[in-house]
Amino acid sequence: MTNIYDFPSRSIEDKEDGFLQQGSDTLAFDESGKHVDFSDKVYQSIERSRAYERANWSNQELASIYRVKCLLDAAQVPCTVERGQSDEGDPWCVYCTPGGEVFIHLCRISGTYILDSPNLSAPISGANFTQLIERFSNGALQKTRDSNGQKHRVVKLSRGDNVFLHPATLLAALIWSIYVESEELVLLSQDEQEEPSHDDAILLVNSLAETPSGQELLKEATFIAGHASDANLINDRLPDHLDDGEAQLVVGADYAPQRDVTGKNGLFPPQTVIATGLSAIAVAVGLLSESFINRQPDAELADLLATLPDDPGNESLLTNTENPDKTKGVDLAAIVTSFFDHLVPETGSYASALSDQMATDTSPVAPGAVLSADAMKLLAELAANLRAEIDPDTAPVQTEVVELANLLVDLPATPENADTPPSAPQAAEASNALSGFVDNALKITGLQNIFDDMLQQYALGGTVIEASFDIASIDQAETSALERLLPGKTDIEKPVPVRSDSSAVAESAVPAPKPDTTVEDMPVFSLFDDNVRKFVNHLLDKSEKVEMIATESELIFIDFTAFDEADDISHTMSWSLNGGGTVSVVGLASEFQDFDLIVA
Amino acid sequence: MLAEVHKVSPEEAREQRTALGHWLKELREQQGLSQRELAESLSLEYYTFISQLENGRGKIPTHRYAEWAAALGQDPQEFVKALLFYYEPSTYKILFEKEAV
Repeated sequence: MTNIYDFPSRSIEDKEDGFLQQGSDTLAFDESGKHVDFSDKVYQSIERSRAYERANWSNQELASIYRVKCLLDAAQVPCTVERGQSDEGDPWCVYCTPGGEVFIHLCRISGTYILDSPNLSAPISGANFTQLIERFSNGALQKTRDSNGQKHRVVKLSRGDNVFLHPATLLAALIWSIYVESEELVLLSQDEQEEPSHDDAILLVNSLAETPSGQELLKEATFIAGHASDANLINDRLPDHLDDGEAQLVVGADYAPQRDVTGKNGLFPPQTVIATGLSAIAVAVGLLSESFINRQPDAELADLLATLPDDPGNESLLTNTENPDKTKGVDLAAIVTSFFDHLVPETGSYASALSDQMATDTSPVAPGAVLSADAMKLLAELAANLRAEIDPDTAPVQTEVVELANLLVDLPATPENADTPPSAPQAAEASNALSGFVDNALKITGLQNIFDDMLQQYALGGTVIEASFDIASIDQAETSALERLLPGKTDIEKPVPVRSDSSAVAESAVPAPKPDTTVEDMPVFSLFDDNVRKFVNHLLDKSEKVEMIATESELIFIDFTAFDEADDISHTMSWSLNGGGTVSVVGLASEFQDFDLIVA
Repeated sequence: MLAEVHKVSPEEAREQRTALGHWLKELREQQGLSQRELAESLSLEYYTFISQLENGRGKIPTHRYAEWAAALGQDPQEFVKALLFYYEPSTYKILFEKEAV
């Protein structure tokens, strides 16, 4: 016998669908049960939620925001970062002092970045960080002139067409500039219409070397160097005692020019913070140095040397009084003195002697003062001793000192060489120099075994290059990309293979004189670091279509897969090598993005 | 002697401002205003400043207290008194302790 249970059917009224209801909204399914039918309110709510999330800071933006914080910390500007979203989802973040005072408000509203600070006369806005900086440089600071009516010094770092600066770099430079109420660390596209000013200067600040964090940064950084319109400029910026005073913000309660909108108090950093912080940020992001030291230093110094009289033995060396414009804005003496004083403590005796010599040569504030023959001789001795004492393999920073010393010793010869037509022996020498540079650069980059026995020399655009492939085979798009890296070599379509013996080089490819290159023309590159090395290795591992071209100062890796399809987006980026020269990569933009080298 | 001066720690100040932020948000919502609308009524150049304040970051500029009170439908004196409670608790205590008792 079996028990039969009769389950009564449930009436519609008994149906429990309360869990599908929220207020007046009901979640319903169609007959198949596969599709969900949202009421308008629910749908709109979900869409709003999704839009809210989409509007938040991207990971890349967050990385930049927090990288800025790290840089500020390294610059002895302790701060906290707080962030949030408005009721419409627009993201904002603030940089606060340890006491909780907000000194930077950064937000993105409808795709536009807005940055405000108590030290700004008005908020600045732009579609990207570069635009923010450009607008900042147009006088966003409250005080653009000092009590003497002199415009603040502006360091303008030229940017070449193929230079990419990391967004965090730009943002850090901007925030730092605002923080110290200074226009001195501003990255700009070169304003060609503006005459180089006597006040324009590249700061030489090396207090960083005296702080532990700074020393870490220095290990991977290049030099800070450049123009100085007078020696006092640098000395004024350097702290006497870095340990004096804590790196704290001072809230200026009496600070008159307060922003009307936010009414936040002006913030004043101690002087020690300014110099140390400037160094930290500049060095950490490699902002300053390449244009002077690392990037084709011979050309840089040739420009500096244009300010020198032709005869190094002439007593009129001290100042170029007949042609003051020629020495405008350049004070080599100040550069060299400060460089050796602050970067190379162990050369103190030489630097001291050099300073003494220059003090007798000329007034320290005389614009356009240049080195005397005695000072040049002293420099030569310094260079010789440096070469003898410093092991470049174990002292990366000091290696650069040797580089500079070498360059300085060669100073008098450079302008003359530039004006002398090249001879056949010179062409052979150029070919050997090219091979030497390539070997050395590949060694530095750790890529020396990649293109063994594959490099051939070609005559191209009046000079000699090495390439790992037949450069006559490249198509128009590839040529166009290379033209950007090898400007002026218009006959790239018809390269001439060159035999490896130097006489053949001399006959077929006489190097053309280098075009005049000014400091302003020189692009600024970041240093070739481990991440870039991994990136290049990744390209080489990924594809067999990566080839290399080398000039006498540049290695160019080309990933030809970037030109396979018509809609491929190629990108070019360059880095400075620690030992001099440049490495450039032409490849797919997406590959650069994968390594966070550019932002999508 | 200076060490004896009572200082509000950053943590205390942060708690106070966070509480103030919640109160400001309540007042705004009571007025039926979005953050953007409140910012417009105060002629702020970016409305995220409202969100920043409501999250307890930063301060309302002193010289705009009256405008904020009006925008939030508050009596200016009571509004400023409340702000003083959050921003300067020591001062508030001195001024209004007897009154509170």
